[in-house]
Amino acid sequence: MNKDKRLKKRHAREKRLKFYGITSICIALMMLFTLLSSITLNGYTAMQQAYIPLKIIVPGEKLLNSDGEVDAQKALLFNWDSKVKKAFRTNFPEVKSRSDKKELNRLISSNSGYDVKQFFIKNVDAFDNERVIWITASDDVDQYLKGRFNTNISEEDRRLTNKQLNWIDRMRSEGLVKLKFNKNFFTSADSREPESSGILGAVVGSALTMFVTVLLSLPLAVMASIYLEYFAKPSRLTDFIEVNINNLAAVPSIVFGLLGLSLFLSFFGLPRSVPLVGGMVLALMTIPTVIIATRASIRAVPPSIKDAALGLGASKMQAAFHHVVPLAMPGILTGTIIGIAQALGESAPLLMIGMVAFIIDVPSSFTSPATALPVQIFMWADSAERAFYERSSLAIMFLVVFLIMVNLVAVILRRKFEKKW
Amino acid sequence: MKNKFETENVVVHYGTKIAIDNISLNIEANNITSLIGPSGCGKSTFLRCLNRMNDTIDGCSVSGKLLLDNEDIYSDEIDPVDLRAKVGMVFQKPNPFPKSIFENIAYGPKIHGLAKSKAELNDIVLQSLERAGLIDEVRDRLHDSATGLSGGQQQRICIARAIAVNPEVILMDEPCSALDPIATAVIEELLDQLSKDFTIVIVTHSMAQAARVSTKTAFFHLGKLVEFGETQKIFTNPEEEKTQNYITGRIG
Amino acid sequence: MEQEHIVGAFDADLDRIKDEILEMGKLVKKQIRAATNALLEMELEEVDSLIATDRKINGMNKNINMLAEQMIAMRQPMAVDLRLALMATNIATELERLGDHAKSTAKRVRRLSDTSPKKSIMSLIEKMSDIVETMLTNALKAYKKMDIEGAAEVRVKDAEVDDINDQIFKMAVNAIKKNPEDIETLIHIILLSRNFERAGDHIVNIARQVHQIVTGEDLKASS
Repeated sequence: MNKDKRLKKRHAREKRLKFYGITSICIALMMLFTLLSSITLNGYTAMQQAYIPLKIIVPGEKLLNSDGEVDAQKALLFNWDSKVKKAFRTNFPEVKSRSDKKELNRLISSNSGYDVKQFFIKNVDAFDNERVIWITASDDVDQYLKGRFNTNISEEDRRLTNKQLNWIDRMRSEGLVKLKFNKNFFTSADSREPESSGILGAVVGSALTMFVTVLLSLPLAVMASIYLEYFAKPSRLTDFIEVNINNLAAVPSIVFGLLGLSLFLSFFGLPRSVPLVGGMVLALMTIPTVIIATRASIRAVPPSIKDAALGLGASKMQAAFHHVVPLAMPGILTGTIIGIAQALGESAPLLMIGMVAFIIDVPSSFTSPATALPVQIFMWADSAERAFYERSSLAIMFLVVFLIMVNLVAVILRRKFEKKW
Repeated sequence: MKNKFETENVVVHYGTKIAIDNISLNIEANNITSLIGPSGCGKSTFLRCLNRMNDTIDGCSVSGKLLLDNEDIYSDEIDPVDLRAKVGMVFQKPNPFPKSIFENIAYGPKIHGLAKSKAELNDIVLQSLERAGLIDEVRDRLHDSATGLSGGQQQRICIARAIAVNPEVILMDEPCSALDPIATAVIEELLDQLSKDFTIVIVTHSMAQAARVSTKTAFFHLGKLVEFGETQKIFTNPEEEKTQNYITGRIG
Repeated sequence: MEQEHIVGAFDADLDRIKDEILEMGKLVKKQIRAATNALLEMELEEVDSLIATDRKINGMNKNINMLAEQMIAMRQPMAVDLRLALMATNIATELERLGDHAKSTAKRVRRLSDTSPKKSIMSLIEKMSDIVETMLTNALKAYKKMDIEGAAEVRVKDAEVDDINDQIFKMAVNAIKKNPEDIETLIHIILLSRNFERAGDHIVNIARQVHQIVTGEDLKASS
């Protein structure tokens, strides 16, 4: 009788445990789903951008020089903005008054003059003929067309007047404004106007920074691990070092930023906001993680392999590098990639060393001013324009996808190199 | 009979614990000497002194005279790395590198620069496999992974690997304890052949194996050498009562 | 060997062999006594049962051989254990021969039944038998205790048996010279005496086996 009761109790306990487990997983999945769907809902619209087809004729004689190329000085002096605005207003012949014209002008992007200039510089045979150039609409038009514009608030507090809204509706029905693929997002750096802004600058900045991080952290961490594991004699000092390494891996990342600020920027006087310094700060942060992963992988290699090599007359270095390290590679690589993925998503340390500046150029070297993708996301999310918010969400999706890919690469590499011993 | 190793008053400590308590033992050249004794008696420790593998263990200190061909192997002029090319070792659990069979055997000759060309290296590998009695079984899969072989074959790979660096002595630490009886018998036959060219010292838990394989046997107990003599005598009529108790499986 | 084996069953196997030998020895002792009695009393009925018992002794020899063989196969004994097993078979053989001597002594009773040998000679034969019996008892004791001193004493005692054998031979030869018609009887006596002398030798062998078990020394080879 007693045995049955105990059995029943045990079964009930197991059932409850299973239930708790499944419930926790469900809650976690739900939260994940909520996060991903909210980001996606906010961000997917940024894949598109409102463009306006502009019919424009620009006579070449004012701008071309004797070689048949656009003269830089003349291009600078030419009033592209007014040409573009005039061309745009030909669609609305009924608009006469000055204030109305001003309102109409606000429907196109303020950078469109610059964009058209760039177009003509690149396509010199486009002069003198009527061309249709797709220019970006202003961000308010863009948001309105995407349905993110709140028309319920009173006209004085809105960014678009009713007149403007009518014009936009008319343009939409006449095909004078269309939502097309937002190529600026992927090909431009940051800009004051959302419609001209993109993540290319931040992506290149992140890439350059990551490159510096890997270059610094991987060799240093692997060498340090091998030394600690094989060559250092166990003593109080090595114990102390080990404890500190483990603790460093848990230090909040912003502390590394403060360290970078005081050491690299103030003491060494390195330029702020450059990938070189960003990479150095992130390397400091990544090295403990990689050391821990490397040591674990090295320890996981059976000592019999090392003994076999030593027994054959290999030196400690030979045994370590010919046999142990290659076998520990999967673990080392995984640790490194995870460390990098972590660093990729860090913004706090980079904020501290100033990579929060507004950079409109794609960085060209390790010492040119740059920003990183997480920082870019932070800056966009913080800004007033609605259009930046949706771009921020799209950038987050981009970053998440990239992180997933990096982790997948880690898994694949690990599987590929796993050898049976 | 010439002595390959001459040891006198060897003492080994692991930290403060004494593992070998004043042992003097001579190993004859081109013979098989076995070291027997209960667990923890120091036979493996003594074996590891002969190729200075104890150097790799932290806190291990070795004192006493250990001569290989009349040279002190613990003197400062002797590099343990070179010593280990002369005195090879085969371990209890077969431990081939997780590489191909060819690479396993070729590793030793490569790092010691024993082959001047690829062809020469190839020859060394094939020769070692032949001497280890393995060539027929692996001739057509030299580039397969060594870890895919059976336990007995893997151990013979380890023996071939040790032979490839052309040592003078082969130390074996319970080489058959992880193998089935047939694989064990194959290796024992191999040892018989090898003893013509090498000096072999084998640590074994199996008294039957020591009796079958060796010409001289040393019985260790609690870090001391209790008896050393002809294997035949040790197993039919040993001098010491402790020895008799051990080999007949008696307490006391 | 006071120390026990770690594996208790090993000790049990060894004890079994020992007990079998002691049993066999006891039986052989009884045979010798019975044979001597039959001789002295000229009792013919005893002879038949003696012959039957001899078959039992042969069976015990076979059994001991089998036990020793099994022990060698199953336990792979070394050193003293191996000697215990091997010498057990030798001792059993010697005991079996002793049994045969007793049997042949008994058989001779049939031949001598209708004669009356001289008292003096028969009393000597009785003495030989007693010594032989004592030797056997001591040899078995030495085997039980693995006592090499006791074994040495047994070997020494054999000299007495040899002496008496010589005595009897001389007396018999003289008696033949004096009364040639008694030659058949006297030849039987000589042969009987020799039986007992041989019996003594076999017991000496048993003692030697005991010595070899303990020291590993084969005395026969050195002597």
